[in-house]
Amino acid sequence: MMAGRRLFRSFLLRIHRFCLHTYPSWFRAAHGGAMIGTFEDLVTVTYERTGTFGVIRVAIAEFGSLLFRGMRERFSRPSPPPDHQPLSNGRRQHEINFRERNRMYTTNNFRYAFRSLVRTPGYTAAFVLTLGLGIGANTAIFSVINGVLLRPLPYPDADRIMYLEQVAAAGGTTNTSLSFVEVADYRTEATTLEEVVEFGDWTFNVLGRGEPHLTIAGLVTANFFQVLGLRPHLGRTLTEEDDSRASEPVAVLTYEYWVRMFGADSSVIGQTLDLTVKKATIVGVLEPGSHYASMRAQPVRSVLARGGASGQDFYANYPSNDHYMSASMQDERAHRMTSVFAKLRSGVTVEAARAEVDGIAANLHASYPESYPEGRGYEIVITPWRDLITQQARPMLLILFGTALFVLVIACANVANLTLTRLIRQERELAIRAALGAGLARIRGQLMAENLALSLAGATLGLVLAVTGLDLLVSYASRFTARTGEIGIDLFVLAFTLIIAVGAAMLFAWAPRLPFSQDLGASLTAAGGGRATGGVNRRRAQRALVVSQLAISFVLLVGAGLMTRSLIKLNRVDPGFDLENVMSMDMPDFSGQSQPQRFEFSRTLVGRVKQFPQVDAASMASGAPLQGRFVTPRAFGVEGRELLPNPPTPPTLLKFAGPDYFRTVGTTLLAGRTFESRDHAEAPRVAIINESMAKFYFPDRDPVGRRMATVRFNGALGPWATIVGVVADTKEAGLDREPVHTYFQALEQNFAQTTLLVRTKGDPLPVAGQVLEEVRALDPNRPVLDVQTLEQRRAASVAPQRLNATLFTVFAALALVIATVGIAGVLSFSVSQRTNEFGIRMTLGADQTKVLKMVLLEGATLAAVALGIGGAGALLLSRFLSGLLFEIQPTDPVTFFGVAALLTLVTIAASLAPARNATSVDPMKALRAE
Amino acid sequence: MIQETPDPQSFLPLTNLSFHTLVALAEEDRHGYAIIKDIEDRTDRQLSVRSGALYTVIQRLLEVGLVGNAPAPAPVPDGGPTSDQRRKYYRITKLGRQVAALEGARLARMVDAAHQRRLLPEREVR
Repeated sequence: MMAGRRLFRSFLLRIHRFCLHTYPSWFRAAHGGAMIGTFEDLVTVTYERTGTFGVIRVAIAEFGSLLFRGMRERFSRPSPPPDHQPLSNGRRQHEINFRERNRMYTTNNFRYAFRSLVRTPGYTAAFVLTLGLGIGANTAIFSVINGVLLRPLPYPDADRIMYLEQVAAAGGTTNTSLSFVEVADYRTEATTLEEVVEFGDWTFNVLGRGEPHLTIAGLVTANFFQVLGLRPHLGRTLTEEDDSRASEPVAVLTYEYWVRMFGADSSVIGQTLDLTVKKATIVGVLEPGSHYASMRAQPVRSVLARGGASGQDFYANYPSNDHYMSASMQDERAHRMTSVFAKLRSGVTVEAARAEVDGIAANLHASYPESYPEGRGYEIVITPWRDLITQQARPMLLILFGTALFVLVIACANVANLTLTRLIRQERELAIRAALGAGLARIRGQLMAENLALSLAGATLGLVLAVTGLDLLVSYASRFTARTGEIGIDLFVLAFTLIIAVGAAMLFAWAPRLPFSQDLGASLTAAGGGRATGGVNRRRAQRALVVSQLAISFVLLVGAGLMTRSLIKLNRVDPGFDLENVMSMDMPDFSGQSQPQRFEFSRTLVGRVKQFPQVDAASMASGAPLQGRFVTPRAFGVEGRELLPNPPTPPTLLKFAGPDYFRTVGTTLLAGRTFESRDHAEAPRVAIINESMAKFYFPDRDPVGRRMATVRFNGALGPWATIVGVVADTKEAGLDREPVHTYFQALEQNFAQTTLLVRTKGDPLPVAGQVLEEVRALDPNRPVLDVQTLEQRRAASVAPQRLNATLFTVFAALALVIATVGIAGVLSFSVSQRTNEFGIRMTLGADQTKVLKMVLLEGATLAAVALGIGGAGALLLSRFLSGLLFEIQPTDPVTFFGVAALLTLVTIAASLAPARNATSVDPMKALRAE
Repeated sequence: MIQETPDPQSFLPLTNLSFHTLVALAEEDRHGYAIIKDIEDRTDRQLSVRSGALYTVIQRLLEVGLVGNAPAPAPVPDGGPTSDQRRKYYRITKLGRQVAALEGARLARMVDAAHQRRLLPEREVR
């Protein structure tokens, strides 16, 4: 940790020193040391105050400022101000305000640069395009990183807001939430926590405001608003009186929901919001803001099919919800369902809070052993909210950023090569100007102005590209984090882009100095002889640049290849369902009807749908396949076998299914029977288990006919059910996961369910309209949502992987194109420089094939070196992708060899045109030129 | 050679950062980071100062003689985060004080005008 921090610090200092070079040398001599010292102080203090991400923000702002001010200083005053020379009063003010002085100098530089660039449109276009692509990729990814990872959360004292999770690590549960009783204990006992907030994520069906519509709401205690610093735009937020059990339901709308559903009507205060079961009084509207408390990323939100909106629609007090107000929720320690936010007391560290809360938890475990069964490993985990909300996105974004940086490096290498080539061509002109007394500093200033103009043009193009691609990236990021509301091009992103552009310009201003090992002037004089000298150094530099481009392309292509191959494997996984021609739709019930009424609805609907000629089978169930929800660690008891004191709790999916469910989704029955209409509420309880579960609980016997029961959270067993069948395993929890235990219960012996599955003879979607009509006929108030075929569901379940593969492939392709252009450019240049040589060789009897071979060999050598370096690099780096791969090793030989073959082919193709040019050299012409 | 006596009035108006820097140095001699911190504290972080901008301003102030170099004070046991010899301390000159005072008065007159026209809550105008 400390070592990492030191390394990072010295890395930042190095960049700082690099940035200082934008200032003229006299300025560096006068202030450089002090500036480094100041930067060190700044880094140290910021580390203590806000940690690594804070330092990154400050450092980027600092670097941007150095580059900008340095350039301004360099262009406005390339030489030190004369010492002790009295200035007139009139001039003095200008000195302080940076005006006028030497403006001519700067303008002239840029005017000259502009003229010279217009004369070489090819060079200008290649430079701007290449750099623009590199900068565009980086700016786009960086704006996402800035919005998701770097910016502090948009709440006051956001770094003091913590999220409390109760995990039962040994039970395999990452967050079991907390119960109201537990929250009350932590609230009274923890002195390190200033406020403890209860938060319940809930979906309400809102009636009476246009169509019935689903909303995301937060059930909160009054201090929620205080902790997040949310202020009312109209009316009030909640008060402590609203927290008591006896209080009336009240709601506070978010600004966005208020505008969307109420047309920003300020008379809403005091009106009622019909939550279907209860009615809440609207007491306030919040100021505009971002709402992340539910932490729902897009996959869950898309189920609600709301489009566009993000975060909560409104907040309500707990009395607005029957479920949370039930006696078992209110009084039982082990009925855990509420999420908890807490605010650290000012000046308290996270570690101190963790230590104190651990102590309180240990006391609770000792006092109420029945609520914390030993061996489950109950424990409270405190995480800064910002870390939690972004933790899923972080690795992916950092990998992408790394990839984008690689693309930038390739782009820079390519542009450096272009610059080098151009300078060689300009040698004569520059030499003449040097001879005429332009002066070294003057020439360098002009080169710098040229590079700066081009780099800034590239940055502008990059910004345009980034803005264009931003929507795509936001929808990408929203698959990993709820925090996408603040992604955009802000000043900070602009500073980042400016840093890259100016950094690149400086790099390219140095690139031409590579060949003239020490003194530009001396080389320029030497170049006066007539034709370009093209020293060994220079050619070596160009080749090194090409090799590095190819090598980095190799690494990126391997990344893209690995991701694509894993996606292919993922698409070939047998899910255990027959997905073809099956459709699912959700019709949540908020009517408050009795169970028998609900069953009646389901039976009638399924019966009518089955009458459609296109329909093969239909069934109600709890959720569609591949939704992967409701998997929880769970213990089961088997009749005739004693329950262990701490039974194992493997992750288990509980599912309720009607008759015909297995035929509808196409899951194979291995033993016994499926559910039938005789398994109704009065009949003996029955259950069906999947193969993994059968092997786990009945390793040596046939489970059919035996009885099982779940272990409830209070430790009791029940309800008992007879196992009537065993079905094949399915990939319910995700195609990339192992099958989990699945326990199916007969629908009518439990609760009514709301997902309808329909198997049809052809494409199922055209039938959806007819089904919808039947639903409307039975209950006009029912929303029908999320109509999808199971094949669409399958595609959606691998969408993150597909997006990853696509982005990687785009970057790799970009890299490959740039690198190919680079090789072709360097080889053509090398051929044009060697025209004489080829001419002589051909006069002396070399035939065309020989010359062709020479050039191709030059390309092949470059490729071979690049393949070696790139292969080694890819071997080193690909393991960072291992978390994103499915059934593919990061060192997958097929991918590596495939990429090597591709690169070799591309190199040969790129060498062909220059090689052909070499063979068409007319020996006589070449010799005459000599 | 006749040394022209600089007229403090000729420096006005000062840039925002020049003025803030002079104000920071009016209290005591300070080094770069201490100036940044003083400005940020005084303005409630509304003005965040980047070192690149600060040193160009310091260079200008040195050139025109509003600020001079100061000797580093004797090390304090629990001073700043680092203390090495590279740190340079700056001191406001007599001329600097005059210029800062004039600029302050100029700004105060502008604020007074805003009060008089009820753009700001009323208060007693000096």
